Amino acid sequence: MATYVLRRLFYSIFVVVAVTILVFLLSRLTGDPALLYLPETAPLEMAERFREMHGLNRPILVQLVDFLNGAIHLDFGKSLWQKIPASALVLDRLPLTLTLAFGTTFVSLVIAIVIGVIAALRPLSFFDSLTTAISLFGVSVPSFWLALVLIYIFSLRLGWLPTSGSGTWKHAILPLIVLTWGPSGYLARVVRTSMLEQLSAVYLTAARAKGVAKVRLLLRHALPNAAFPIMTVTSSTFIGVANGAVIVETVFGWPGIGKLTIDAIANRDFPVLQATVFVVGIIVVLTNLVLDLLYAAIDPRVRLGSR
Amino acid sequence: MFKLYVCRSGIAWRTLLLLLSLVALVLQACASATPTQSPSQPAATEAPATEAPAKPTEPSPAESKKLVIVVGEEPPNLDPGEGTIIALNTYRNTYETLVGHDPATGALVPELALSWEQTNDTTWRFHLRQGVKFHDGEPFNAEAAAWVLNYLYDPDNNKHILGNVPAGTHATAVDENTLDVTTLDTYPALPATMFFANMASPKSIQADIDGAFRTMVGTGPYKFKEWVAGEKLVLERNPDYWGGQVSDIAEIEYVWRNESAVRSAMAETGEADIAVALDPQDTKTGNVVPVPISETPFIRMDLPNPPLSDIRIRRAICLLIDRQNIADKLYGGYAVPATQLIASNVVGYNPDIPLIPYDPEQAKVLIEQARADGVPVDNKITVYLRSTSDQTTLQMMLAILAATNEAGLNLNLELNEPAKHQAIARQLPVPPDRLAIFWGQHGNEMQDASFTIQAYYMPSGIHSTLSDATGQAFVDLYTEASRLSGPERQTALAEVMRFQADNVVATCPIVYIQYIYKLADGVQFQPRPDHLILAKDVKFP
Repeated sequence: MATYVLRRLFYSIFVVVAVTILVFLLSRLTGDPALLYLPETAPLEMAERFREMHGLNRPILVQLVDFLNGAIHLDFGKSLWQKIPASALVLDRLPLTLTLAFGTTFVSLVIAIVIGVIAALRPLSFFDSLTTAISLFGVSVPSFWLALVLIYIFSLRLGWLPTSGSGTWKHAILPLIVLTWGPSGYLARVVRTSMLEQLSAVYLTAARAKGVAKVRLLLRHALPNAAFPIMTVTSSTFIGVANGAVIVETVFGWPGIGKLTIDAIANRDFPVLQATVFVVGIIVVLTNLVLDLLYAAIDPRVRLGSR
Repeated sequence: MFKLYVCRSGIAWRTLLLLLSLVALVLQACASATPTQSPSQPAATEAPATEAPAKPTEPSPAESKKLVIVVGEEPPNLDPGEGTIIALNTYRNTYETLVGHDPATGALVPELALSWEQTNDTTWRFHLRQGVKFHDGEPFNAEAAAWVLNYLYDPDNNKHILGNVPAGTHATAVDENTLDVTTLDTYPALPATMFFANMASPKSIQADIDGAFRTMVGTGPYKFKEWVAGEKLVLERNPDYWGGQVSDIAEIEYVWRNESAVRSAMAETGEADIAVALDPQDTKTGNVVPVPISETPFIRMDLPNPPLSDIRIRRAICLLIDRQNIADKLYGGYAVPATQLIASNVVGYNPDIPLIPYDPEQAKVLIEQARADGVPVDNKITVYLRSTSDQTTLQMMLAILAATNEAGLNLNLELNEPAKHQAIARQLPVPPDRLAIFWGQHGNEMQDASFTIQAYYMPSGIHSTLSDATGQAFVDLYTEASRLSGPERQTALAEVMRFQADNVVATCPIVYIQYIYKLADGVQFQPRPDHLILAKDVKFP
């Protein structure tokens, strides 16, 4: 197991480095930050000076070597706009993004398992149809619209929750509802399908014949065996939010990585963009690693060492 | 028995692991649901935004007032050299300037300078207010002011103000309270540029080795308290302010929300006292207060190549803009048709320039006349727009495009990423085959037409495609006007604006827009045209 983990981590380093270099090169192709940073009336000499101050007028290879040299020490340079180290900026925003990511994942999973299992136990029933309808609604509703509707109902009309911001648990409720809405519907469909497959499996018929209690049958036999696709989709949900829930963060004024990334792209703030991609890359790699370990732990047929 | 079951089936321990992973997720979620503190966040944070109206407990009711202002964007830093609207919204309770604006007339008024005069062609003398101290206790005097100005004027520091002052501008302390600012050539507009020269403590700038500007040390009635990046910027009353207590507001808190609808909701729920820059669709409810500002959407046209090189075509395009309809429908009535790029509070505004009517028939006549004279009116003209433009701008340009194409021209829209758009828009000289129209929004916060004329009309202007050959009369007229000051300057610059409207037509002004504010219940505030939100202007019930 340890060998497997070390090997995966070793390969992951290459993935993160490759992605970071790719982003470095691609971002340079997207335009010049100098003209974006300066006011419309600024003379072009100011733009040239800006490039000079930030080393953007050097050959791209020189910039790349300089970047890699810094990246080894986790130094991605200073934000062109905020003038503070990009890595500090990203790490400062990371906890708030992870809050949403873990919260969304957990709530989605709980809702999906409850709804999905009930729907699987009563296939083609009214509840099953209702679940399907809700799931479709969940994945179809634009999060931007949903966010504004929720603010209107719960903040403006009822006054129960703050419209936006961060700092208390109340601030997290509306963003979590919006972020959970889509994934829980989709996950519920996955749980239902996976559970239906298990419930019709021969081993469960045998267990039933042996007189195993229904709850035990469900929780100890069917659900664990249905876990693989659920875990896969769950990890995708987690990664999706950890990458940055841009729309939700923007609407709710939630200062996470998503908003930071979008601003960095819009402003061509290369150091921040590179630091963000690096951190997100690590999150993705680690999530996948944890997922693989969970696969192996849940199902002994998965032999880590043989991969 | 249980152990036996586990060993045989291998299922229970898998379930256990699954449950454990779920529990781990629960724990992580619970842990992260508690208020997360970034490294820069102090342990004792302010009341959450929802509790803003409750205000923190302080000794007396008068001391307890906190003003919460929600603006669209967080400033990237607190650099006194920033010249953006965000900076104007955020800085001016802390940083002060030598001159300010009379909010009603736009005229320059004393702030840290009590008076100023031109002592010779190239020198302006400022007489500074005495007894002023920076928030760090350092004295504000001519030496400090000169240091700050020279810091802002230093090309190596690349501050925004460099776009508004001529190269070689230099400040010198004459005595404790007298400051001279010299330019290489006559520059009557210099006092106007002082509006953007924020007076920060030289000591604080020198101490900020990295130039990160995460704090503000000015002379204003409120001093920096804390900045929780992404969340809020808090100022507290400066008890040693030279002007005494200007307001009973004890603290000012700035928060940032990109969405106009959210800012609007915050004012209505009382989470914020003042919501800034709302979209017209968010004005149906609540206490809405609009204010005219010096911001004018317009289009500018490439002048060198046909058919745009023909003034009849440019006039025709201007005639095809239905300004009243744009003001009413797209800006929801929070705009009025514009006659020129500058608003009436700007020195050089010409009230005699007539409004260009929406007249498609006259436009068609002009286009046909040009066609008859051999002007290639069918040449493709590209209208460049940022891909990030808002819906109002996009709809405005689509309406203009439809009208011009209907009238017989060949306009096409091209949306580009902001960086690429800027690269195209700033490309000078105009490439031989380019036929371009750019949308822009011009603000003249310094309230002097020379800044507009230099940038958009003079051949040397960064957004001007007027050539020396075709624009010599214009250049001569402006050069003469730019050397004047006082009432003569107003008259002469107004003539330049008229000449442009009649004989150059490099731009088509569209509307004068209004900035829309929304106030929480009971809050009284009259917004200013120059974007400043000063605590002294805010009254609570």
